[in-house]
Amino acid sequence: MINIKLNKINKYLWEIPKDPDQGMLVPCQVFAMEDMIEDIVKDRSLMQLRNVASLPGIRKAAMVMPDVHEGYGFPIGGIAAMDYPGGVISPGGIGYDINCGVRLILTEFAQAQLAPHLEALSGELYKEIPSGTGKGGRIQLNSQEMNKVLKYGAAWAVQQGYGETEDLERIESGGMLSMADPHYVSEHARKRGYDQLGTIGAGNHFVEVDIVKELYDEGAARAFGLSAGQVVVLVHTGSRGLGHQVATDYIRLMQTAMEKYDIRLKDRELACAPFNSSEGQQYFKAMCAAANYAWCNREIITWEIRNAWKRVFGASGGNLKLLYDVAHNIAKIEEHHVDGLTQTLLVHRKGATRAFGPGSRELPPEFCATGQPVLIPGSMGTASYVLAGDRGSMDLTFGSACHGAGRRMSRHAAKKIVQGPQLKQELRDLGIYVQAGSFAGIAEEAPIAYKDVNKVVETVHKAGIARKVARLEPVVVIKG
Amino acid sequence: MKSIQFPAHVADVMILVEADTPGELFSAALEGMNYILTGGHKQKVNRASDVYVEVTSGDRTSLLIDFLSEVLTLSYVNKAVYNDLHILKIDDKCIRARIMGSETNRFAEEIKGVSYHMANVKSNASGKLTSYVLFDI
Repeated sequence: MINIKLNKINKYLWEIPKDPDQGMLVPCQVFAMEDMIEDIVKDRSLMQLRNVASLPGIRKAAMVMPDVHEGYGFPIGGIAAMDYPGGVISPGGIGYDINCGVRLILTEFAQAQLAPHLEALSGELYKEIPSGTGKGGRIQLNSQEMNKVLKYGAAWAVQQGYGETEDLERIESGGMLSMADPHYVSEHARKRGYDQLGTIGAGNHFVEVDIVKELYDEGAARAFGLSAGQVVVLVHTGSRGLGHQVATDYIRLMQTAMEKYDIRLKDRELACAPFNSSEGQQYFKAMCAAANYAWCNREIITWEIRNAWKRVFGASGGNLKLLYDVAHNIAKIEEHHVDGLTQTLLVHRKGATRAFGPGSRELPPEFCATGQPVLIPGSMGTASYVLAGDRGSMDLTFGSACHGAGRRMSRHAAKKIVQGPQLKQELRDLGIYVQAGSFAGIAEEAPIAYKDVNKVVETVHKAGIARKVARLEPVVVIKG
Repeated sequence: MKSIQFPAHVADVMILVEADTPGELFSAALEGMNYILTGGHKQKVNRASDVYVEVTSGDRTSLLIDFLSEVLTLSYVNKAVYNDLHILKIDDKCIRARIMGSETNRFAEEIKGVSYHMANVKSNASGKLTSYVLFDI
């Protein structure tokens, strides 16, 4: 256990005071309820958070959400906003899986309509959506097509007939970051991405069919198109091997760049460069390109889901409409109110979700009154949540919320105590169909390996960051 | 002689490698990475084409991580697991090697990246070279 002094500010906020002896330029803030602190201090997350507070140009505080756990360099569940353009950008503050994110798709079905077809739907989804590692998707890009995907993101998928135009306004940033420049994505990264569009990968990535079990905010639910008993589909995946390679390439580049800018850090994985340096710009433009790839990927997976749905239900299946798509590993240039002034900042979110509140100009008109939909997946077999960004997020956390349940147990430990086949049967007994690439993968992702998502969500709800709108429970889980 | 251990890490997979020589250390780390990629299962498939790898880095710790990253990329691009390492040249800043292995159509685990976090090639009290390597899963 690491001994770091944590001061309680209120029921949901703790602070590590700024300590220049530790190189901290700002304090650290931990959003968590008291009974979650014991788990948080067990790993190195707070030490990593303290290191983040030493990054040049960091503003206000280095923050973590209640789903925090140890990462490498930055803790997972972390937010760091930097001066723009003079502060640093750190690839480790975004993570290897650039624009790993979640989208929620609405169906016109209620649970009773789905029930007789659950097994058939799970089979069709598993057949339609490539999963696992090593297997490519049905789309093989050439170099020119790759450039367009990197530049235009989800819009490319729509233009090619793999999506619907209405989807684009329901994706964070319209599914495309305009500063993307394919030129800065390496040949290694492209080779890893040529055949991976429309694939979910493995690990904690999934496609899940859920039922809306409980509504907490009727008005927001109506605005989001959610109703009790409704069938929805949740997708969790990112930029696949292409994004992973972009991160690898630029973390390596930053290692040597730091000396040039006289930056010394306690952890190599925090490697960074000034945003307005050539290295900083190259990385940001490559990161934007990888983010666009991820949005394109999730759009094509949505097309695959629509195909599978149509095969099972035919014309009577109705339309599948996108509620929203959020990124939880990304850096964005945003305006925030700090020290009494509206300022442009570069906000790093690593395992944290944008959660803009009501009135934000970035949101589609239908979400202006409610705030942005925030999608929080639980672990396999447990609840997921739809939240709405609240005003508190803009005041407290640079418009950010948690991203999921957060791990509390290593994969190795989970595999030791959980038997994959047994867990699969237990979930089946609860009415949840699991299709996965391996039993080891099921064991690694067992609910016991994750924190309590209900507590994580309750914290951000009560702290005024993002309020609960609906709770979802899975009936089909597709994993790699 | 070399050894590989798998200390616990909450979110990812970590290895601790120990060896008598730099070459053995790199070989042990490669073996550890491949164990994660294959889930420890040996596959009887076609032999993959040999690949020559040359990596240059600022120091020996970065070199270890950058070498593993390069082989990981080649594994995914070529859909192969490179079990055999024949080092042609190695010093603190450069490695040139031939890697050999087998084709595969599926990996047991998806390694997103080889992290520099906690990596530090150094000699331990027994005079052996050692380092942690953390793999983002």
